[in-house]
Amino acid sequence: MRLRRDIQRLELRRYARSLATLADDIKQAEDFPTETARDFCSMVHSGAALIAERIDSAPEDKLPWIGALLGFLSQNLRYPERSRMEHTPWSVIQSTEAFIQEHVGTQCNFIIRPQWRYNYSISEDYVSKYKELFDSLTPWISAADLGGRIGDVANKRIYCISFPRVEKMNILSHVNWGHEVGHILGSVWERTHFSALWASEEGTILARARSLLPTGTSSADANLKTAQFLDKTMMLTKRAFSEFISDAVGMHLFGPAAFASLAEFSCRYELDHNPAESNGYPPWRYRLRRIGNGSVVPITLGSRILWHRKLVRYIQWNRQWEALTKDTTDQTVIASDHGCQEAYRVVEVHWPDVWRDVLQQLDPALRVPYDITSRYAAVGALIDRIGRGLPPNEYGRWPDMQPALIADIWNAAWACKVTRSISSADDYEDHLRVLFQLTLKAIEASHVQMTFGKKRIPDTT
Amino acid sequence: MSTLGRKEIENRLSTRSSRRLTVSPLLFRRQIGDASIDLRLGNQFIVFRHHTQALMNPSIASRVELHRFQERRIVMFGRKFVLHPGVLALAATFEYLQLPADLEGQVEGRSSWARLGLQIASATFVEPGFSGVVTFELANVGNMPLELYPGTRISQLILREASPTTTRKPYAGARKYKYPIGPQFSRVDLDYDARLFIKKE
Repeated sequence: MRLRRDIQRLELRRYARSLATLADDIKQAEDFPTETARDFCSMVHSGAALIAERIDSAPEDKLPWIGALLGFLSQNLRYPERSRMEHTPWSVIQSTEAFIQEHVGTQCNFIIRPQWRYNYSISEDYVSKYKELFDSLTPWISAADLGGRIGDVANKRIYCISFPRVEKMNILSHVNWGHEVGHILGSVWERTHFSALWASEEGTILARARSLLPTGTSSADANLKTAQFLDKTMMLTKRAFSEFISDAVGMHLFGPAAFASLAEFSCRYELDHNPAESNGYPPWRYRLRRIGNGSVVPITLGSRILWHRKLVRYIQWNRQWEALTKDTTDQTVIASDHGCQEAYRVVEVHWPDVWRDVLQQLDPALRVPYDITSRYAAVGALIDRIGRGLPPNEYGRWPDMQPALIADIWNAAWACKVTRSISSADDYEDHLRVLFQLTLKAIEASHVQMTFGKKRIPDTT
Repeated sequence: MSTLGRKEIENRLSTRSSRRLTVSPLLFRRQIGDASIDLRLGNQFIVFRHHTQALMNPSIASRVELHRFQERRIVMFGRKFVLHPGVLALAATFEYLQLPADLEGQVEGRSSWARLGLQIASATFVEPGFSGVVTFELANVGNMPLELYPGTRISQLILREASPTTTRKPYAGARKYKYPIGPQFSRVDLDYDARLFIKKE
């Protein structure tokens, strides 16, 4: 019907123009902690403007799809809009982005924003996603057309990291960002290595699937059931690797602080859920056992840190979780499900090779994990500063002060959190409020020190 | 009560005793002058929302009402904050200070900035034992708008020896401003005599 078609195009043009204007309005905000949000707005603006300009020549059958694409762009604007400083722990965003870029490359950029769901998460790369979506409309419009409008942004990768809104100022909990960065490395590994790994295991899993079929199953039914078994096992295996790689990357970057934040986060959930009934997520007990057992970074009482009482107690606190992981209920749950059993067998068999491949993505200098036993002097000094009511942003004796590494700051803060004796809930919360303030100030101050100060390069030995 | 000179300031910064002074971070040693330490502008500002209220009576306003008058703005390092003539804005030092029990401080504007019309404070006595950043009350008394960049040295800390305090932990107990890391909203409503002289109607 011609009337409907005409209205459709008019409305799509209006929608696209409004969206382009809205993206531009959001971009004008003064208070983004980094330039990434503005880049993102530019991309949405350019995409919407391009669609508005060409809507008259859009193929008839593509109009509903163009409407859906505009809807997608429009929804995505919530990421930059909520990443303004008033919504985020702004003082740590620049330093965190710089730290993450060191590990995953400067082409990776991040929008950090709150979400109402109580979870940390990371999105896919939106620049690639947009290119893919525009390419699906070729020849009418293409990724190259979009690329021509957005300039350098086309060569970037933009991810959105979300954190629980209620935890905005809980800087200690944000150590979980290390885990989210792990998902970037994990997705690269999955794209480049998973197929080969799966091919090497498929025969065994297929044989297992067939062995589970009741005698007399028809051929059609057998094919269906084995295919379902393979699908399910593959999903469980991928998800398990994804989470284990991310946990391991968090440990690699931040050592015991990553373990502490993950362990604390796990307290909100059941420990021994069945992955097959939880969207593939591995049981928390299993995850804590994997990263707490020292396979990535040993959490041990090296003789060098024995001199610092709080560091010793911090390590002991981490080790206390071992008692929890000695319980094997999670493994019983996994064993009770054939698909899970196969997936976790594959994970255990291949893990050392997988982790080696993941580390290959990092520069050689960054393949050495954070080891608190070699950082004991810095972390101990930072703990002492917090104890004196000072931000843990530097250590040493004046005038030879060294700006602190973000990983050292986070470990010192966690050590102060878990070793403080608590007399009441109010006392606990007061203590944390001050600890958060000092830690937030420290992360920003050390970043400014390294960026603008005389001693720009911290001592990492 | 004598003002501390460069050598004494440096001794205070490097000692590990209870007489230790902390000014952190000092980006350059040159910030220490003959009798003062230059302090930098932080990147948090509190500005007034003149359009939201007809007038302000801080003594009877609730905390919420006082906050409604003001809003916190963050300016990332490298960007500017423009202070227009006649405008008051709160800001703070970038450096976090901790004074020992036997030192008191006075934060004053640097004359180079004062000559451009920038006043930084009218109430910047720093008590012995204080920990935190010091809030500035920035005002542009000149005729031209001033561009201020976080990190700029706009003030100086002058230190004097104080009489030994009678308490072991000075600046302890309930204080209105404790461990601040940015400028603080006014808490004049918490003054014990805030409402004493206001006739009840």
